[in-house]
Amino acid sequence: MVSRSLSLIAVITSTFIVTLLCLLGTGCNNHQPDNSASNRESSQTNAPWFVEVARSSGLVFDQHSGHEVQYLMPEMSCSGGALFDMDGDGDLDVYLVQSGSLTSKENPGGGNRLFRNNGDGDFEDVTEGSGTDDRGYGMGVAAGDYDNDGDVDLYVTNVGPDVLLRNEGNGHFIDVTLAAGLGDPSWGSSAGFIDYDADGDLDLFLLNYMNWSIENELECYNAHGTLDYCGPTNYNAAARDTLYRNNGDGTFTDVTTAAGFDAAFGYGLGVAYGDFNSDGHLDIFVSNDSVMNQLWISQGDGTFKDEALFRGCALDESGMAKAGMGIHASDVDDDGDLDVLLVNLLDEADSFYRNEGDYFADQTAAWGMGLASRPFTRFGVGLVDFDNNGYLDVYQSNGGVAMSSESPTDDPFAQENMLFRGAENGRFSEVLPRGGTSNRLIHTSRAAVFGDINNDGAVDILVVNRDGPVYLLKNIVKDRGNWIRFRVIEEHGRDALGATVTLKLGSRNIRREVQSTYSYLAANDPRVHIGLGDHDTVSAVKVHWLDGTTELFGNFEAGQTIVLERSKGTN
Amino acid sequence: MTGSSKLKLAGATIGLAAIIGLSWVFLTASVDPGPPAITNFDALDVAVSARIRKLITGVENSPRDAVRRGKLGMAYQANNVRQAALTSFQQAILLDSSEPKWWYYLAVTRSQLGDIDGAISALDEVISRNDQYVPVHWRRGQLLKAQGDWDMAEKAFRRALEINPNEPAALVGMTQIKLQKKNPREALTYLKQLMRILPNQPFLYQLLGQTYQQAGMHEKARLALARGKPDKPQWKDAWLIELDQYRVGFSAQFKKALRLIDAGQLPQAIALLESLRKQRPNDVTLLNNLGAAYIETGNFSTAIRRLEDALVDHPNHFGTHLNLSSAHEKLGQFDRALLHVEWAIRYNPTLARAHLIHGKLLMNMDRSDEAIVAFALAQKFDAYDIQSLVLSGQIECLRQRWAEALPFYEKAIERDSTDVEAFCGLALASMELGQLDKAQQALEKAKRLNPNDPFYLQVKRRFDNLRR
Repeated sequence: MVSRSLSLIAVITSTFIVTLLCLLGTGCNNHQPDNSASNRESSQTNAPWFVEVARSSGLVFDQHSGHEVQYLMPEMSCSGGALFDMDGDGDLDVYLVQSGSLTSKENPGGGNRLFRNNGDGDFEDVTEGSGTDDRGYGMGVAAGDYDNDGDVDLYVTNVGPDVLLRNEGNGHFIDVTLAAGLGDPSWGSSAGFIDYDADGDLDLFLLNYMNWSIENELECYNAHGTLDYCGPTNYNAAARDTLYRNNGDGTFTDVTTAAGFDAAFGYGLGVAYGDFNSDGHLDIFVSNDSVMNQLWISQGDGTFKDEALFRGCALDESGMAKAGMGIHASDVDDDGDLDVLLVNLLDEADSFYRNEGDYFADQTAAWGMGLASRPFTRFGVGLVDFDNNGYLDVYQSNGGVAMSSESPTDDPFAQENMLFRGAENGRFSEVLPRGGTSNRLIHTSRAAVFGDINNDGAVDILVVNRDGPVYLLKNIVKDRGNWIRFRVIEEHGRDALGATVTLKLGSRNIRREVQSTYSYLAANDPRVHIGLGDHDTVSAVKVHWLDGTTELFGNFEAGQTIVLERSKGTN
Repeated sequence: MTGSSKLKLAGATIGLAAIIGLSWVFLTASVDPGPPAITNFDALDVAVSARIRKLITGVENSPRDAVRRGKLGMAYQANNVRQAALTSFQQAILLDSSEPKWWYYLAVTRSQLGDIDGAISALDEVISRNDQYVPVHWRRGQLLKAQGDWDMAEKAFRRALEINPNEPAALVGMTQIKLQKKNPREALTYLKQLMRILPNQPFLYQLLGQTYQQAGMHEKARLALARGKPDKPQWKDAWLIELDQYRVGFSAQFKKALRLIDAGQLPQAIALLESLRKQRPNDVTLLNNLGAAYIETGNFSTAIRRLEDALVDHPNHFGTHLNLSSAHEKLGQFDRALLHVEWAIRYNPTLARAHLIHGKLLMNMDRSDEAIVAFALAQKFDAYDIQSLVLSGQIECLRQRWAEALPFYEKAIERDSTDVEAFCGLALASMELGQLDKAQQALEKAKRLNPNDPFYLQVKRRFDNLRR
């Protein structure tokens, strides 16, 4: 009896121990679901890369989508912002676009806002009297000196007529939309200035998301079966993008049809410029939502042809059209041509296309971006070297487009943003804590705008959140590498948007673009920031100007901002 | 047994009893947690919410029942409540780790939540319990591929092919791995097999184009990519279909009806849509799809009734106007058909499909010049549309304006070099213009594409007669 009792006890005990071990997750991996959520390639650092300082820096701005009862599609898009040097004092000022209300003429957000950087880390709201408080239902913004007078002008896209604000150089802007022949009345999203014909003045390319009106709004249901925002393809109303040629006299001409942009329509959200086929002409890459992307290859005569499908970057490697949002083009693999990163919808991987010269190869998985961001819907994106180790990192600002019943906040669309560190092996790994901040930041993020706000040699981020406050993410990466920054300007002082800077960094050939237009609804710092790692000098700094000429600007020591002015280098 | 021994045994027994008691408490606490409930039931469709609440009650009544917890997980997962699904599957596994499906669903949920290592390890658990379920292998391969682990992914796809040598998902996986490994020749081998199994799938042409590009065959790549229009391949996975049964509510049923329409099961689709119409009689999307389904079955009068109902609340809904146009056209009511397509264009002026329908209607009404203008607009708003070019060519051929017909066919071929009708039209127009060599070349290409095409045979006869 005793022996039977002991046997029973032994069985029970051993079962218990096994079960206990199982429950503790140490003894029987075969039977215990592993709850670890860590990704194999997560960067196992807990030191934050950013600290959120918007409010404490005086950057007080709450975005208003105007959502009430009906789900009106533009409310989902949110609005963007610009980091640009409004007053030529060498630091970045901030312009924030407000959405407002689609059903009422009153703009509950009070219109767009302009904040001056005081140079000491603080911002001052200088909207009053500046002429920048456009009250349209705002979307994106482009920044560039279209009139070549040495100060940066703004073009604001709206659901409804867009606005061109000419900078008078004294903190005042004048609405010159009608005089300039602009004011596209449709739903504009991202836009950017581009000298597509290399004639020395900035033209304007504008994405129109879709043909939408409040009268045509639909009712759609999400995966939970409840009323929610529709997807773009529900409307079957893709829009044509628009190219305006700068006439050089303060006016623009719509050359969309003549330039060939009638040939393909889409739901454009993100746009990036660059010479993607290395033929010396600027091309235009449009990230489309739910339909094929477009790569408008310049034919060199003022016309463009969409070659995305033939070059393998219209669809993903499985032939699927993803929901393209933000976009950034840069030479990620140091082979001298422009690669492209597009970010997409929940459950879709990013689209990271490596430029193979004649075509693009989908390298999303090979570069480590195949999975980690799939639980999120990404909008803003930047390929930027935040830690100055010499390799581009990736920041993505995220927020859902369909309600989740499991949101960690009251906002059913809110999601965390993500940060990935680039490394020498060519792969990206997620930086923890998620989003690079020690405090969890969860909002419905949309635009991410990149620039070194305090001129400390580290790139900071401005994030616009739907129905929430903006983030100003100050870069606090510890032990950052060396850096150098170039402001590349034409003879009359305008940022040479579209020019390229190349330099030698050890055995690597680095190529970076002078670009403001990338991410989503954003105008970014056009200065070229390059992380140098341990290198303390750079050599063979060459500028490739848009007209095909090049100039050498000699060797420079790290840790400074250098102005590379046209005609001041050597040939 | 000595007294001392008895004492020790008693002590040991009491100690063990205490351990067992504690373990009981511990186990009870561990495996009997409440079922995961979401905080915001309002965010769910009423039917989804009711289904989940019912399953939660079932779990609360039998907390040790792994099946009930698994089914709750399935309901959460099918209705896109992923965190709660994850917890439910984990709880089911703690109660019964032998069921491979719980591990499988856990893997799917984990991968959706971004926990890829966890998903792969859960798939490994499935394999250790059921190695013969093919989707587990290609799904594992897909995850490993997405991680950039080409060798392990290839191994997983190979295992799937060992069980089913014609498994499309695994063949696609192998093709993609070969491309990642810069081996286009082997990729082509898998692609050829795939094209035999799944002929005319646009996404395969996309893959073919990528393969040719990598092989440096750029012209062939262009031709393939021209056919590689957007597509979303769907792979068969019986366990996921089982999970799909838990998708409930209006939206889920509506999507099911759309899938039935896509599959050509129109009577079933119509029955389902009619039952949904009782729930939401004014839903424009539902009524529009229902009307379209009736048109497909030839029941034009009912189609018109449903579509006109849709316009009551949404008079500007261009999709409904387009379907109404189609229904009236089938009934020979061309004027009404024209009216509706013109409304559709008014509300959505850049919709290429509307211009194409407009053009076809005008063509049928012998208004050739206007039809050509409409087709030009269809072209303008959809550069990939070939039909409008071919139809414009047809109009010019019918008017015996051969020189005007030629450029339409040439442009169509430039856009898609696999369109038999375009080659035949080109041949016809060329031969009538006396350009017999050009006609012969076009006919040869048409023959290569489809030697039994009736239009080809007709044009070939005409060509042979002319030659004689």
